[in-house]
Amino acid sequence: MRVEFAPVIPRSGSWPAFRTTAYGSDAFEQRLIPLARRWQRHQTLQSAPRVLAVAFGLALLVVLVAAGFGLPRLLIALSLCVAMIPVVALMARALVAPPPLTAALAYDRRLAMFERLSTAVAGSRADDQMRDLQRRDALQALAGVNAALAFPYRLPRGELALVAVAVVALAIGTLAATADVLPRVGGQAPVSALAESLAAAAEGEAPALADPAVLAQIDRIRAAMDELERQRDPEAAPAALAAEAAGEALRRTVEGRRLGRALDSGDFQAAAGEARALGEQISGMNSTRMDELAEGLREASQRAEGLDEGLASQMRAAAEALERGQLADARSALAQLAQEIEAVGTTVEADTGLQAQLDQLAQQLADAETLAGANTPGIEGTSLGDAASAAAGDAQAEAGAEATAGSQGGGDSAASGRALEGTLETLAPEQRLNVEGQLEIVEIKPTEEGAETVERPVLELGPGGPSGYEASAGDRGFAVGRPDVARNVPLDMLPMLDRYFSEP
Amino acid sequence: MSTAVNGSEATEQLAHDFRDQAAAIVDEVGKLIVGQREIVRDTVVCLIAGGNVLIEGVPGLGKTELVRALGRAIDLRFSRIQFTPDLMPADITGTNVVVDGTDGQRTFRFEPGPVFANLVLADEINRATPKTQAALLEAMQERQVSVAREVHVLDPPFFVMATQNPIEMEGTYPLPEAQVDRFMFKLVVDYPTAGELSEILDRTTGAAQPGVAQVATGDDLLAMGAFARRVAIAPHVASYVVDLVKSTHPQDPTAHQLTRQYVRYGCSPRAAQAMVLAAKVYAMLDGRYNVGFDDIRAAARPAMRHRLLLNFEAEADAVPAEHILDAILMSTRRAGD
Repeated sequence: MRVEFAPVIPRSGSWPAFRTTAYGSDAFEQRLIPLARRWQRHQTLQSAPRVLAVAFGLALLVVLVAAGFGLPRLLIALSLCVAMIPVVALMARALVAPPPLTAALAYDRRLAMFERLSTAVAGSRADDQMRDLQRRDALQALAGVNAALAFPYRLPRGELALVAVAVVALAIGTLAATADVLPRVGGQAPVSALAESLAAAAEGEAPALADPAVLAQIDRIRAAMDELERQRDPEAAPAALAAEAAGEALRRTVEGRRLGRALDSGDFQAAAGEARALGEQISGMNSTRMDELAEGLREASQRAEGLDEGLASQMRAAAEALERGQLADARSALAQLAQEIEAVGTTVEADTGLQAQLDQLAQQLADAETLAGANTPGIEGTSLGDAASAAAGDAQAEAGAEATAGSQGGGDSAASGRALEGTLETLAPEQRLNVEGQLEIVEIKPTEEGAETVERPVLELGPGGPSGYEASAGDRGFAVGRPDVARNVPLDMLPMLDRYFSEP
Repeated sequence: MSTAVNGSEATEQLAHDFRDQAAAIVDEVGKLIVGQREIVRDTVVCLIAGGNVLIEGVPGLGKTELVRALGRAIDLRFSRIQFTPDLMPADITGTNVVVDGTDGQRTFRFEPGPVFANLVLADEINRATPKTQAALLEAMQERQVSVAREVHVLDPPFFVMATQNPIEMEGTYPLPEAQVDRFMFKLVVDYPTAGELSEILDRTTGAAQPGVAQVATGDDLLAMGAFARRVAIAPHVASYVVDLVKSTHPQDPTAHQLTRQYVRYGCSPRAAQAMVLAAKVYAMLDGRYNVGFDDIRAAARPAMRHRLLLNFEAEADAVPAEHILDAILMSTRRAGD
């Protein structure tokens, strides 16, 4: 099966004549002119969707190529105009009359006129009389032609959809090309600010910038932490310490043991209950127990002084009432002590809740700062350290802080862990082994006492105990005096050193 | 101007007369021949165009009757030659015989054969030997007969209407290519339909036999033929004829694929002439003064089917000439396509 495609661009033989002088002045050819125009417009409409679709497709291609090679927008517009030439040609074609023979053949074929018209146009070798007859016959046939029925103006709908798609694609492509959002041939892909700053930092040109989103998150966390810090009661921590100290003193008495345990453990509700219970029980106490309780309350009052005056004064009042043997006053004082304990409990528990939230935020802050980039000096030096300290006891955050500082090398005491190779003899003066047996780069700032090193013979070191060698305390380690080398050894390495230097 | 108008009107009148007479001939023949309207029309077209006709069909389909009816409808001298294997050329052309003169001397005198007529029916022409068949060659093309160094011109109009049985039948001799080419049309008569067969029974088995009236003369035919030649043919239509004929030539670059595969020799220029002449008559019969593509297509099969000499491969594949012609007609582009 052979598939034929109608030519998008007419063949050379069917290009329109751009003037109507090709038509004769006789009635036949003058009558043929409007019919020829009609046929030309019909043909133009039939081929227009395909031509437009191809033209718009070419224009889109030109625009994309121009944008891909980074040509100026003016050149893109020029390319667009060049690609639109077929459109202009199409419009021009619709406006002109085709050659007479082409039109005559078209009507002959469409209306089954047996080449009457085309023979009249093309002529023949027939004699004059026969030619006249033939032309009259053709004119008569032409007079009955209804051109609107023969060649109606219709656009193929299916191909119109194709044109619509092409127009939309061209519009989108042109917008994209002029908005400079398309990748360019030979150009680099758009680089994010974060990647750019990290690359610059790696080359030592400039400090790295963290991801703006992460930095914004860090700022939010810090703001939240500041707010929580403002909400905290400054008296809560001393009050908790006062309660703990008082509880420790009361635990030593027989009658006040349970109250003391409750205060020591921070269970203020239970402590308040115990205080009220003591007030009810004092009438049944003998004098010895009562004196012991009074002494315990007085000691507790003394320990709480300076930390929580309210708690201390209530305990003191209860102790004095007991010492005086005024049971009613003692009972009243213990009841007031219970109320004071409840108030302290309320304050401490609120502060504990705030502290828990702060710890959680500190953890989030540490994670965010790790994510923001380990090479950021500002983060390493300020907020990250604060976050690590705020999240007290959080070993992971602390390790992260150390790792960050180690890679930067800007901290006071930085460490960068790696497996130890060789022996201690190969360690440089600024190197040490940490508790995990990894090598750390340290900067020692010894105290005045620690700075003193005494050289001792190697054989004097060994299992003879601490007196076997002189050591000076440095930052997280000892400077071990040796005749050949002087270096700082962590405290955790002392047992290893004992074995290393011990005699067989 | 008025002269031109008068001339045109006279021509127009001639055209009307042409159509009327042709229609009358067809109608008269149709009284005797049931159905076969296309065969009758094409036969009349050949007569008007001055061509010879070869009618092929199995016996009993009315081929001879058709020619006889034409001879009766047109005032022509009619002769019939029944071709048999023992028929000699002199039996067709005539011969010199010795006659006694009034003065007692014997002289040769030409005795014309049956070919000296206006309408010759060569019945079952392929039953004679090629030598006898060839006796008609000169008469068909040049309208003359040469006997004993003497040329005897045939009176116009002269038509040979030959019938033949399918060449596959026993006792037949295929016509030589040179003779076949001299037939303007080869018409193939097919079996009548059931309705036509009933009509044939009604007409031929009753008491009343249909008669054919004479509606034209030989001069009328000559005039009609001359008038038909005046019909206009546009260059692009003539070019279509040329393209068709060239498509039958196996060595031609424009030859059809089937032509290259199955055709040994293509159509001669006589085929193009036959198509154009017949198309002009078709146009006049249709009331037009110009030849159209459809006229050419109508004449293409009868004018070219007997002029295609197929090769052995075509015979082996049982590919008829009509199949190749149909493919050529389908694929040859016309102006405006």
